[in-house]
Amino acid sequence: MRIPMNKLMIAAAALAGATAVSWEAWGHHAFSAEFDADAPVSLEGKVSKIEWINPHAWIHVDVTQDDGSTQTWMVEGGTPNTLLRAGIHKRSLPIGSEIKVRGYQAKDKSCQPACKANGRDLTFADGRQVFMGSSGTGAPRDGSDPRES
Amino acid sequence: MKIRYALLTCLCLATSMQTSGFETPRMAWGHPNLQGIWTNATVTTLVRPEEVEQLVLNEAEAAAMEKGGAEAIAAIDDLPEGDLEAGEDVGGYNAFWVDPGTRVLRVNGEARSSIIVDPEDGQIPYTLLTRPKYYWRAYNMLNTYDNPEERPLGERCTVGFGSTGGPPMLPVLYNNNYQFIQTPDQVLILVEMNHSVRNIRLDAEPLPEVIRPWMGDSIGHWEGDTLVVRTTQFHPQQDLRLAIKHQVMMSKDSVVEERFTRVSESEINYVFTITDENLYSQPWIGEQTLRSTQGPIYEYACHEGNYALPNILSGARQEEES
Amino acid sequence: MPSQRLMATTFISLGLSFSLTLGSVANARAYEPPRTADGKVDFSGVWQVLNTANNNLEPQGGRAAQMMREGPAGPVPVSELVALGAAGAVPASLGVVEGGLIPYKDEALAQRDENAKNWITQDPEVRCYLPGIPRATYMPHPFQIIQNEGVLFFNYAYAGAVRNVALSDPGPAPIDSWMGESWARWEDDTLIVTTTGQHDQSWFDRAGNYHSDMMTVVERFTRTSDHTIDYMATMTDEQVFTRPWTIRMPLYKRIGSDAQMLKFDCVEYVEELIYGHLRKEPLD
Repeated sequence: MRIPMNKLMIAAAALAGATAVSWEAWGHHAFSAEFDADAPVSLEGKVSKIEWINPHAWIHVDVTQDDGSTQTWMVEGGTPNTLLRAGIHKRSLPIGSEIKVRGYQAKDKSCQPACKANGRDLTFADGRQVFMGSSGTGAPRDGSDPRES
Repeated sequence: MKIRYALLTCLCLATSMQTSGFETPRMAWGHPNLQGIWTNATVTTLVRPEEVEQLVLNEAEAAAMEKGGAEAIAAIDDLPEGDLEAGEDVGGYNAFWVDPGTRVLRVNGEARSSIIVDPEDGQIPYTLLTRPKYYWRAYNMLNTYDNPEERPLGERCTVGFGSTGGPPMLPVLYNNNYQFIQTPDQVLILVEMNHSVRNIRLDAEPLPEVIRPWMGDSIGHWEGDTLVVRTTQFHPQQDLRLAIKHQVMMSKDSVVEERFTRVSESEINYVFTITDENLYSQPWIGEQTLRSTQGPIYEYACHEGNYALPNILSGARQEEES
Repeated sequence: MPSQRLMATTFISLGLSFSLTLGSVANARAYEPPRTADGKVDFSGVWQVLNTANNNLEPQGGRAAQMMREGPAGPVPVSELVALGAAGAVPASLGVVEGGLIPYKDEALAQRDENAKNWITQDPEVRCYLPGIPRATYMPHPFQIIQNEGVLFFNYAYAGAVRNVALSDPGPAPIDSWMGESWARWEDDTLIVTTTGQHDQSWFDRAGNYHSDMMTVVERFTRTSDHTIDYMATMTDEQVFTRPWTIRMPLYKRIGSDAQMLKFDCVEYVEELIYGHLRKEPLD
């Protein structure tokens, strides 16, 4: 073998942009440009609205606070287009679904008109991942590959 | 040397086309038919990883690279239980939002470790003077929050991020889809990101020099069955193209020549050469395979839904106050 | 008020639209249009309207500015528009709605009027947002139709908008979008494009005319000469309108050196408007 396999895998991982480096998931913008890495949040609540928009989908979650009042959080996701290609549509995550969000609050902490955070990890209340399932989300579309046929 | 490489590529392609018996499909007016939806998604990056020396990978190496890519994507969702830690930049979102490709780039069946084929080391041949300028410019772009015009083009939604729209059109984290549409006088390329349309005018005169569109002014012609496109007059702000999978510094005076050749029902060979003597010590060449993919191309209305840029700017204003 | 609107609508529709229809059918019969290789009428080319439908689909008198306020002795332009003078004035226009007026439900008409009062902050065009269908057609900018075997593509100059028209019914759109989902069919030599899946944020014009996310638009394109298309669009949206209604206008082909279309990439032109207040040092 001309190249040690572990090195190749590390190289691939680094360049796939998926390791825990500061450029991770830097698509439309870098994580650190919009969010505060020192302000992790864990939210649990009901989905009140989903904005299926680009460059980022925004999931609105009504979170009941300790004092009983409700605070709406807008949770930033990625581009909806990848989900559409995986068969997800606007009714796939019904309004009213109970979800858990782990993420980081935006540097803009004005909470106007809602508090904002990124949805680093989205799950249903029972732990299942949101948008995963029979539709095969997560299977990237590489285009037809002659080796597959 | 460079020209020889390009020539060799074309010769190889010509030979393989003959041997495979593939007959180029044609439009009603005789031009080769490139129409359809194509993708350049791949695990392979623009520049060669430092750990890798050679361009061509054997099958075991290609498989290892693909495994590494897949594990890296899987690792995104492999978070520890409980609340997230403060102080760590663990990045954006679950893996289901991204779509960066799962396979190593293959050209003519050959697995490749980089898109760049020339220079031989697979790196962008910046001159000694350009390199610090590039780092300085990149540092400033990522750390300057004073004005919207100073933020990266992708954040501003003027064009897709990185060089997805190009030219050269390079793969990014998601939405690596392009639709080719032809007329006798034009080839249009609809880039999914920001619904940008590259209008390649065939055998046309350049636009007046004061007009500098995003993605430049592209003029094409057919050389046999190859579409050759020369792009000049770049928008002066489209110089630095930053994405995870590539970081390229170009300038408003860069010249990009692209060659598109349909080599099979499902593949277009895509070779590009970038020339800019103020930036590079030599012209450099990249080669990709565009593969046919399922449509449709979905609307990417970036500007309309751009909550991120005001959040980024207002976040910076709040941090200045505190 | 609503009953006056209804009467006006009925009178004009009985008179005007009937004669227009007869006229164009006669022309269409006499004219043999160009065709693509598969025998379909060819709509390829760069097209543009020569009207002011984008100001207001309904008839409107001339005025000093798109948005007016009460002055001491009659209406004057809002302060934001005073400096534009005649360059910002709005000419009178006959309207393009068959029957004259859009058949709004009462509460929807009130919303339209409210929209008009807030044009400068509410019209998506001011912020360079995608125009939606049918507004994309009659923006004061050209668009190119590219049609060949397998492709029907609309490339609009305004805001870099595009529309990829499917050649068979793709079913419901997975999510709503600015330009919606369009598909084409043919009735003889008329191209019929049906669009659904648009959300409710686009407007019809600068006068605040609007729709909901339940709207279906059916457009009819008929070539009437080498340089004209008879264009009709029928809007059905039970949430906002009492019945379907139709706009109609000619589209003109740009020829010679005018046939080259440059994109109007306006995103960068509205950065000061949208983000200026977020600068480190906001400008005066």
